Amino acid sequence: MIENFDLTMVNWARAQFALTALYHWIFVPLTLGITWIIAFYHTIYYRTGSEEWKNLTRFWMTLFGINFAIGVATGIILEFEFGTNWSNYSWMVGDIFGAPLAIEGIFAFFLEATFFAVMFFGWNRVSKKFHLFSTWMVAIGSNLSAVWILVANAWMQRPVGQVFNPDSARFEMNNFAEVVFNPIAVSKFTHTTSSSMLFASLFIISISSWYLLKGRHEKMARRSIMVAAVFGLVSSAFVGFTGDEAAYEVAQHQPMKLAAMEGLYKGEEGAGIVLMGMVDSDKKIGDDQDGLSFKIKIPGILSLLANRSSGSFVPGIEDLVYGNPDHKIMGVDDKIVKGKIALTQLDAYKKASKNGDTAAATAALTMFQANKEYLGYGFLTKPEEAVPPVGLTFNAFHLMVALGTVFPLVFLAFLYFSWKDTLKEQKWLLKGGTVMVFLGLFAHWSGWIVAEVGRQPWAIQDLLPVTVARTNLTAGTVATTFFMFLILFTLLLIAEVSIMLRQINIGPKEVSE
Amino acid sequence: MYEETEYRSYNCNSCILIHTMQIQQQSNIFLRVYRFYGDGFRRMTVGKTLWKIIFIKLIVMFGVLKLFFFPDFLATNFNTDKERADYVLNELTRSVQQDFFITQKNPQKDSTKGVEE
Repeated sequence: MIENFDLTMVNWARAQFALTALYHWIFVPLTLGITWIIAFYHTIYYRTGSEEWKNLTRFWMTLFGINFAIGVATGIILEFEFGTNWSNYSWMVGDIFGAPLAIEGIFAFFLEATFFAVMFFGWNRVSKKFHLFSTWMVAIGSNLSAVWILVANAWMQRPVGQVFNPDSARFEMNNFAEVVFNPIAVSKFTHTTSSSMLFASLFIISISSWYLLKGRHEKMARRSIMVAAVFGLVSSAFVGFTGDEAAYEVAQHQPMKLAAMEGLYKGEEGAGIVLMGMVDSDKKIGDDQDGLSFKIKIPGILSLLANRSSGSFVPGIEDLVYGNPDHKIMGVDDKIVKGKIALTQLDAYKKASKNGDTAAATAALTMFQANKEYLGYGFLTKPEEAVPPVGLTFNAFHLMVALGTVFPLVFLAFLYFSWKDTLKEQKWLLKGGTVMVFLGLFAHWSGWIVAEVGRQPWAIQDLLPVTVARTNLTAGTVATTFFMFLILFTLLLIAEVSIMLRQINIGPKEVSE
Repeated sequence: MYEETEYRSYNCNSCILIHTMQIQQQSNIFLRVYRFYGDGFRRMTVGKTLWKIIFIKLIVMFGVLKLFFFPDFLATNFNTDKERADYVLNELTRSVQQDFFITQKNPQKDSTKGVEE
């Protein structure tokens, strides 16, 4: 079936979505994270009344404002793409996504119209207490509005609280609480927000390091670094904890993604986690090769992380593709059969309903319901199609983890030398500090690649592959808009970077040093 | 409005005076909010450039991209939700319809189409 679709169109649409999402994701983590740090700076100003802390707060607020202004509405383009490139998907999930996305819109509107304005315009114009309250509300509100989009994303990874309506071809929400408190949504939200706080800490450290290297605004830079390093260190602990929760949920509900993340082809009891490794590009699913041409593993840790038991069995890609009766794992072949039955019965139900044959419609519907959880497999032609791109998923996951391990050490180093009051002499650390914001961005992007590439071929886990989620468009149409976005986004990025750099160059000029 | 009618019915001059002051105070609040936003926007420095970028961006997004390059496929091509649902259902089941024709040509190939046949 898949060969009947225009795969080139699907790939252009995927590339366009990835481009838009990655671009959008430059702005979002900074907005989510820096609002908390600004709230802390503002609180220190409120408690001390120090003009230096006020100017410091205002300076970071300005950079936040630039980031927010350039980033605002870039996410809307993703919604355009849903309607144009992914119309089947868009139609099928409309009922599920409608409520969360509407709540997000309302949150964002009220936040931006009220507290956001008070935060920026309120200096000396509203009471200090209300001004501080507004700054905290911007931080809380921004992060709460992120809940809803992550709830929607988590639903695609684990579609709970829904029932498929064979008449409307839509997934309809039947349990709002189940959708909102989907464990994947919870771990996704906590991991995303904590890693955004970490990213914002790196952003502040990068700019402040540059000031120290240049010998400008040193007092402000040292103070900014002190708070950001503490904040980043605490965030790093949360990132580790929430990352563990996220991986556990992946192990329980998306075992194929976990296997790809670890390059694990053959399941193991007491499976080890790969500290370092290289994917063997010659590996074919089902052959005798290991899948990793080089690896350093810590035994038992993957089993512990995946099942909370160091001796437990973690299925590999081949166990999941071909089945493993010893561990009661159904192979994809069997799922394809069930999926095709579901599709055939859906078709039979459609025809029987059209002809007014109630008995046949009921019989078809009963059989459809019995097999509907495998619906998506009915679109696959061979079991190997259920495997995501292993190399990209593995590399992105290990890059993210490696960077996530380095960052707390960086924060510790900045804290230590700040405490010793010798930070300015540590040129190596300050030079390294200036590039940390880029490494933070790579870590974030890697995380999204793991989440989204690792769940391929599914648009909705087990229910709808991306090849069926798409619209019947020509590849040329999507390619044209891809390049339009590329140009538009590049221009916007140039605008942001130049305005941001100009503002950084000006610096917090009211600070007396 | 309701309170005003009530005061008048009592013909209470002081009540009308208090109410008039309340209305003035209320309009002052609106005025203050208006001035707060107005002054805030006027005093912006970097913000003015940012607003220009936001404005241009929104025009490009909604006035060009959405209008000419990103039509909602189902909204544009179908008039009713029933038509849209039928189209998507057809997209979903197209594969088994195709498989069905293949099976008709090669009956031994697929054993899962019993009901269909």
